[in-house]
Amino acid sequence: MSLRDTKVRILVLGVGGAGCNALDRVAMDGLRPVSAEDPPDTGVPHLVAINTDLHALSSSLCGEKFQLGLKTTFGLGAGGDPSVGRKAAGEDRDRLAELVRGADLVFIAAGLGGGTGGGAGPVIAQLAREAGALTLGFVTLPFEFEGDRRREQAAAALDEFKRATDAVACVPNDKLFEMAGEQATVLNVFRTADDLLAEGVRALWRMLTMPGLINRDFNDLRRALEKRHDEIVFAFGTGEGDDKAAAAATAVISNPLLGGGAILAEADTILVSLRGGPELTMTEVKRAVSQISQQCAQKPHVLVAASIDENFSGKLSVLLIASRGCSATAEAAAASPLPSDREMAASMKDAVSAPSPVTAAGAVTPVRRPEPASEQSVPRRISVDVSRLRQQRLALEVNVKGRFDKVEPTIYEGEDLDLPTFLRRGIKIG
Amino acid sequence: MSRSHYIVGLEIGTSKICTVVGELRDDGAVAIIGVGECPSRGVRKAEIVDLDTAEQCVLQSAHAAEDSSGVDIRSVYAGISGAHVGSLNNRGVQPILGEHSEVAESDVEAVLRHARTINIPNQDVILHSLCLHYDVDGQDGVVNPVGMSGSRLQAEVHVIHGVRSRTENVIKCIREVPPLDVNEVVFNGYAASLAVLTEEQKQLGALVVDMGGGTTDFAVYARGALRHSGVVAVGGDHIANDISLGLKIPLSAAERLKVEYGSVLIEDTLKSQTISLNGEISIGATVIFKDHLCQLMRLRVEETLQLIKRELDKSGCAQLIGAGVFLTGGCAHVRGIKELAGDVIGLPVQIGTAKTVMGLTAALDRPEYAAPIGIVRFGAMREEMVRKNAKRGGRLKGIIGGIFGSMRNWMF
Repeated sequence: MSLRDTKVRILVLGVGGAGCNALDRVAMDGLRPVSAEDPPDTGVPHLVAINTDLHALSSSLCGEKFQLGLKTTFGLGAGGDPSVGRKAAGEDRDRLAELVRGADLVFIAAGLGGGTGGGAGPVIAQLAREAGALTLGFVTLPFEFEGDRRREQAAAALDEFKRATDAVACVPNDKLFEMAGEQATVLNVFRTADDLLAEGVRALWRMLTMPGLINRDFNDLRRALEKRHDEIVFAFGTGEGDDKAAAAATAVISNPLLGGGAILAEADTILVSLRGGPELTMTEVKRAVSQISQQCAQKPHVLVAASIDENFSGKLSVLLIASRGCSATAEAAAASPLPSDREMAASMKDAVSAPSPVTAAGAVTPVRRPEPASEQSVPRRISVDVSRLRQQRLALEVNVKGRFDKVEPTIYEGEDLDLPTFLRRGIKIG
Repeated sequence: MSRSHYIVGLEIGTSKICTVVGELRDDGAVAIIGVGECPSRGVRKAEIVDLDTAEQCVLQSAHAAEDSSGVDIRSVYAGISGAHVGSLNNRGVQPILGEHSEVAESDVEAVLRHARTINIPNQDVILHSLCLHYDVDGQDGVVNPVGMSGSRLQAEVHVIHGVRSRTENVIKCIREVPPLDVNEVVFNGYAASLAVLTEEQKQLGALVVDMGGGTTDFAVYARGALRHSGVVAVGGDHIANDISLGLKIPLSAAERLKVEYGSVLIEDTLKSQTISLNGEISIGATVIFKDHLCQLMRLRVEETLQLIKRELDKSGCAQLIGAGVFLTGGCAHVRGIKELAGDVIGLPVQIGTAKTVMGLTAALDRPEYAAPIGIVRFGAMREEMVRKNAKRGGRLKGIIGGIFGSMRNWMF
């Protein structure tokens, strides 16, 4: 049974500047029902642009707009500060909950590293999941040249996204650059990202609604992606001509987003959705799928869907969603002190409502792996010693580092090894 | 015999700049035929801080080696170390495309490229990428996958990387001394392991600790391959510095006490022993208690060894070290360090000397020459491969490129 009958509500949300741009692309290319017989509301994704910046929002092509956190930002942007974005989302929590209510599948597109996408995105995702929707994030990571601060913010936001959503498709902007080529214009590079999201949404929507050779319904998708709390990877490829199956599969496999095959090798579930003209044969489907699944080392769970598009004869396009099994990050997330969704929501609420800027800033720092207590205590003890030594140095004018006074210090796990061992350990000689 | 059969290793160390000349024989054996040494100035913790002074020392060292070997030195392999050098293990995957999927040389090149390019910070450069093993469609432990059938090729590599600008400074320092040129750079810790360890010891598993003047470089071998390597930027200079500050004596006196009286074993008999420094510091005799000296040294050396132990534990290979620990570098001369290292690391320890080459025994037996001799050994392996490759008509090109992570792409 296809989901056309059950009216899957798909909600596509663009959060923040980058998210809204991506949404514009989806809106521009249009997502219309397959044929005139379909009722107009059947499974057509519902697009909503969400932003704190009123100006940016007003220029969005998207029909429905959602102004976030008017009281927090007064219609301006979040200024690259995730805590502001989080606060803004906290302010409009009830309205957001209303927005996601009843949705079955929620896509959240956002650019991480900034304020609104990275701060409000995870909050919205959490609300969508609480509302019972299968929630997928589609996020981009800042370019390397944008600096460490943005990268750290993005890493922290990605972590929150992973925990808040069922799965996150994450595209580093540097990879897009690679895909678009050296000579690509700025516009083209960002367009590649937007296209990728638009194509992802469209392909999933098509898979759920179009009649096909092999139908996959919403429950299949849910089973494949639900509660992964990890990254998934989208990749596309198109082939034409007699050998279109092999060509499309090859194009998918060599997609830079798959990291030269490393992602596929680690994948434990892959979803292959094919779209072809009416002449698409079962052999072609089989060929394309087997060529892709051969690349997987972990004997993955393979879900295949194939749909027929009258306008697509002579071509075959393949959408691949690969998701890793219990990776290190997933384990870490599971072992983290926020295991249950409820606790998670509570803690988020705290972070949102916290008025103190110190707490808010504290929430932004990247989540680090818990270190053994001994390691944590060592630098603390040292720092006390050093401060004591500094006082000595002022009083007695003793250079505590001797010949290493002016050279770059040797820091090993927070400890300056150039300081004499006996001083750091507080051992008295003689 | 053509000149290309001589291989020169040059190590810009913190305490000495050392040039070793080796001869590569037709059977592939290496003999050390000359050594040149110059006390190092302008280098701190294995990194150049004064280029001009360091250049002078390079020149003197190279001249001494020319006199000693009778060989004109033109191009050298250069050793490198410093806190910026680190390593990681990485895996590369390459899909083998096409109907009759057969691993081609280009696939091997690609998989090694994939394995090397991930996770390295932008300002870093790869010094070595050593293939641990290949895996074709799940078949593990493949040595040479070219020509094998399969659809997926994986390679596990150990990548040693360093900061590009600092690596370039070493090359620059040598190139500024005409007519010297640099063929390639080698990580000192890796070089020391090449000089000291036999194939069998690598198979058994070994830890090589090269404790020099400014840094302590280490290399962990297990099941025949390098699994972990790196640098702790602490060395003999730190010991002397601690002594100088602890006993409130000048560095030069501290250095001398370390060499002449120093030990890391604290024995009861030391208690009453004193050393008099006559007129060195002030008028009259300054009395130093031997046990204070040894205590200061022990604290520093023990701590450094503990850090190495921690690195060994990090590698996950601590249980796989069958051949034990090999101490090289100038600090291997510190009295009692063998016993102390045994206690700290919990493995049998020996002083490592160059066992894998022939030649001047005066150089081979000294642990501080392990790294420069290893650099020669590295150069010999490199040139031997090129020679074999020429004979076989280029079949191994990709593999050599992978194994020795050619620097050419950024050096020229």
